[in-house]
Amino acid sequence: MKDIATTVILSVLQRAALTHMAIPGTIRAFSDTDAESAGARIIPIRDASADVIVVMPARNEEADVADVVARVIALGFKPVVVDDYSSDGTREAARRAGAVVLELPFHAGSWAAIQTGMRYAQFCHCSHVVTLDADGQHNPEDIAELLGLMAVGDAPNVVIGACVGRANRRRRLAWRTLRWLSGLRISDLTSGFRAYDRTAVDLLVSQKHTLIEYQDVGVLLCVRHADLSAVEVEVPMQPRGHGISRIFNSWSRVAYYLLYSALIGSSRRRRIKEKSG
Amino acid sequence: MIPLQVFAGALAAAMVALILWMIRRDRLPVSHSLWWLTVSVMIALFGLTPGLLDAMARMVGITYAPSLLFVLAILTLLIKVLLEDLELTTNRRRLLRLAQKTAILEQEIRQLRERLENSGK
Repeated sequence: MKDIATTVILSVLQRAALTHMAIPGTIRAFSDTDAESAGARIIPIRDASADVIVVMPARNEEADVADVVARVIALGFKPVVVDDYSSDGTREAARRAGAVVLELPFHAGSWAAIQTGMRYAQFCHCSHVVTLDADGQHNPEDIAELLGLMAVGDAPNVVIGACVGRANRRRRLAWRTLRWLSGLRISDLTSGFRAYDRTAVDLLVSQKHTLIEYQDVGVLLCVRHADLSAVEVEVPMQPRGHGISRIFNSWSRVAYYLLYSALIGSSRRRRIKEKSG
Repeated sequence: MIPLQVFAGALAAAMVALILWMIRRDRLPVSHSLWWLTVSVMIALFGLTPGLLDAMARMVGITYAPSLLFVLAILTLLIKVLLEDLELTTNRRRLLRLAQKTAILEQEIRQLRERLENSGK
């Protein structure tokens, strides 16, 4: 009798789920594969010299963003600052320095900001995307080193600019745990200094990967799951100018972050094993 | 004292009436109402046939029948909350996608406008 009740509840549930899912049909056309469809409707403004765009997620980085943007321009790359709803003059400072500024209408998080930049890159038909912190922590001058690895034959899809030396105790604990949980063999899992080729960008802009919170383990697992390759290269990093790490400045954040990564790491790890087995 | 059946029947009827009224006023989409109508039917079913619960409880080995009712009720609510969470996630995803698109389109408009102004000079 209880089984019957469960079956009834389940079938009702299923129907509820189906009806819920039936609604988005009209919205889907707008959201997915929008790079192509939007490209067909709106002619994107193309800039032949900007084949590589440098995406900088920024949240209240008024003090440093202009300097970083200027250095990126000096190197001949196209800087795109994604403003994650800053309350200071980040937007204006970046624009004055000559960057393309994409303004998010609310605080969306660092990965959502980076994904915005990637969608923009797809929109502009760029071949590579480099992500860089807007606080001056990474040297734009090292971009060439990252991209250099992508120029050779059999090039990796993602290059990570790693800086193992910067680690404090909290960070080192996080890295070790994450490596163990995710099974990824990359030493600096949390580096925000990365280069992606078009294949990786096309993969990561998908709607499926919008809800990732940080640009680290989750993203790398997606990359590996799609059988794309990632390598890392050691680069020096500067102490942050004015900003602070939003994750590694308190133990409670580290705890949430580790829990988050542990769940994402362990749940997706199994899927990869099943696939290869 | 009102007999239990009357009370349960009135409760279920009131709930059905409330849901129908909400559908009529466009406060509740039909898809969502199905769930609540099913719940009303369950209330009516268990309320109007008191022996049913006892029989079910005996079948699954619960000696105190009302606790089965609590188990079912909590389970129903739990499932509903989980479904809500799923929908919330879908909405959050769509919201983020739209925000990203807005940011890109805003930039395109700005660039096109600048281009227009420059060509006008």
